[in-house]
Amino acid sequence: MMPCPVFNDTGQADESLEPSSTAAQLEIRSPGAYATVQDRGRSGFRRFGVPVSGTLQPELLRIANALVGNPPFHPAIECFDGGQVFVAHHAPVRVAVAGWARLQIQRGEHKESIAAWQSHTLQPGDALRLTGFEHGRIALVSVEHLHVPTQLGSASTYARAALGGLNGQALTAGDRLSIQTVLSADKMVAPGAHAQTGDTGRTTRTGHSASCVSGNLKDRPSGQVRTEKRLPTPPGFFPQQAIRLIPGPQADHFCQQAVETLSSSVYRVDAASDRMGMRLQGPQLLHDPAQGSEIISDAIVAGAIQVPGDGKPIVLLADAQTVGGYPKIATVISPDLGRLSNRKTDDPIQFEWMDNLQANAATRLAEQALSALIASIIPVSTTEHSAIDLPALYSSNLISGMVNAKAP
Amino acid sequence: MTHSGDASLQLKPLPFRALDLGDTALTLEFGNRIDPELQSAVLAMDARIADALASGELVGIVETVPSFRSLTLIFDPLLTDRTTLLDKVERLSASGPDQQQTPDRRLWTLPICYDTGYAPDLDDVACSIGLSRMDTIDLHLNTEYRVYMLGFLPGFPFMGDIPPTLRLPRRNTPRTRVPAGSVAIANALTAIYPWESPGGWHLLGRCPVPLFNPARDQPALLSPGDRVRFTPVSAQAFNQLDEAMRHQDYDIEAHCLQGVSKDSE
Repeated sequence: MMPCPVFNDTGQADESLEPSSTAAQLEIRSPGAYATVQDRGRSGFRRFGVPVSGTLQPELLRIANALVGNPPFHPAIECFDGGQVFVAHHAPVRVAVAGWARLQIQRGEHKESIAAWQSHTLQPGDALRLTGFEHGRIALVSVEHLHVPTQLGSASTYARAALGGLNGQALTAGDRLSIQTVLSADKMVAPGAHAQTGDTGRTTRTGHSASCVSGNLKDRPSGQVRTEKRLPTPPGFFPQQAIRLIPGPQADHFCQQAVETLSSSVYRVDAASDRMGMRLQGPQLLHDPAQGSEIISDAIVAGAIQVPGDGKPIVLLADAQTVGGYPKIATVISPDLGRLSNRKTDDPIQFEWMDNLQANAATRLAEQALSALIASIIPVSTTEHSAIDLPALYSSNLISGMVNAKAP
Repeated sequence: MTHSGDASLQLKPLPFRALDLGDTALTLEFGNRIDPELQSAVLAMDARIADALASGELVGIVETVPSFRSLTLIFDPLLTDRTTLLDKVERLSASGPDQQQTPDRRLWTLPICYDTGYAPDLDDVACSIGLSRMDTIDLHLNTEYRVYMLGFLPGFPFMGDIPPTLRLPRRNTPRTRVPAGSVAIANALTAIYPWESPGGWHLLGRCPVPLFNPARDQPALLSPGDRVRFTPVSAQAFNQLDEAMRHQDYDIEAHCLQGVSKDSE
């Protein structure tokens, strides 16, 4: 239970007392280990050498966006490994985190743990903190009405060519992301803000402290219900599940033993992994000496597993170059790539072979499952969400006077 | 106008191997070497697929990616599958040569500075091949290159073919930082680095022309099939051009595009 301070942690007057006349912003107080703006990526420019980029976990992007009412592939902040701190400014900002991350909202000196897989409204001055991960290393933070300009059709960040994101770079401390104000009927409504003029958003100190915690209660324009949303059953994290591969396109450049080794061994994620590729530690994959360890460069896709001369496989990811000169022994099927990308350093990986027909079936199944999951998102009921202040309840005088039933 | 004796370079469908690149891509592989005939086959198939897409066929293809000797089709597995695509592509391939397939080929003349300071590896390369610095420059300069494909970095052109006497394998120790605009060679190819980046090729000069600009309709300046010649400039001229070309309104085509041709060579 958090009190509602008049002053925020910098000692300045609480911004929530100001009328919401300035568009909301989200300050990147800390990008943590690594954070970039990503959407589904930019297609159509591979032939010019432009990688698709985009989030490594499209499933989480869609869930996070659904929780705040954004279109499914709206830009969001892809966060690695924790340490991120995002602060709302000028007006309330609705956010949601999809991923197995540990989260807090900080207001003034007080920090409160909050749930992932659920939307929350940050009041001006509130900080969202990703303190770490229960599972995996990637979380997608969606922001309602986040506005990031697109380049070549996408807001995804590709720093090598300074494309997308904020000035084409990964997020750094001090960056501010803009939130687009939305026109609603004849009123100008910022997400979570007041619709009536003259309403300063001041919170009374009586009543349930829940109104400070959830924010949405006091900030809802009269007559307009804007509840938070949550996923009742978050997706499971299944580290034991094998990653499924389709052989090729250059499987014939390897000894037959290499193909067997790949699916019968345990590989581990190497620390030297990033958005360009995931290096794997494990048994070497030997090239056929007659073919050598290089090919005439051809196109790659995210999920392709290339093997240079040292025999150590690399799973290419969203920021990898569009063409490559190393033989590719196999390619991860598309429904499994997000799951693989979210594995941490030293996590064990096991692979299994699949054919194209089976992969198509797996893709359709995965799409159906994700759609069903997103359709299961429900509004957060206020009684469910609020914390009842029992001491306050018992000590408050709820009845202003005695009533004489016999009085005329 | 076709040149006599170049019948092998006519645009005609060549047989290909179809290779799965996962469940979202299919690579059509036309051969196993870097040469103009294979590239022409790649571009011919690419043109046919582009026409089919424009006619509303081949639903589900997201884009195509030409490379030296392959054409990769990227598709949405929820909208189509490799069997359907392969069937259609094989029919396209068998549908005979088409005059309209000959794409416009542009000829560019790009300035290059070979002066000391702009060409860190020129002397080493000259020494390796046993020629003078001047003769080495002439070898690189007096060739009209074909852009085989773009890759490695946005706008980065792989061009060929380097004359046989100038061919060297990549450097033993790659550089962690190659200056932007560096013109480099390795084996039978020459290339230009649009930005500073790691690189293992031999640096022979620098070119001030911006090769990638997301504000342009087509963000990369060069396309597969384009022809490129270099023209030498002094260090002073390089610096002036470098400065001038940073402005968004500099008309690169007016200065560097020599012409457009429909020759089938």
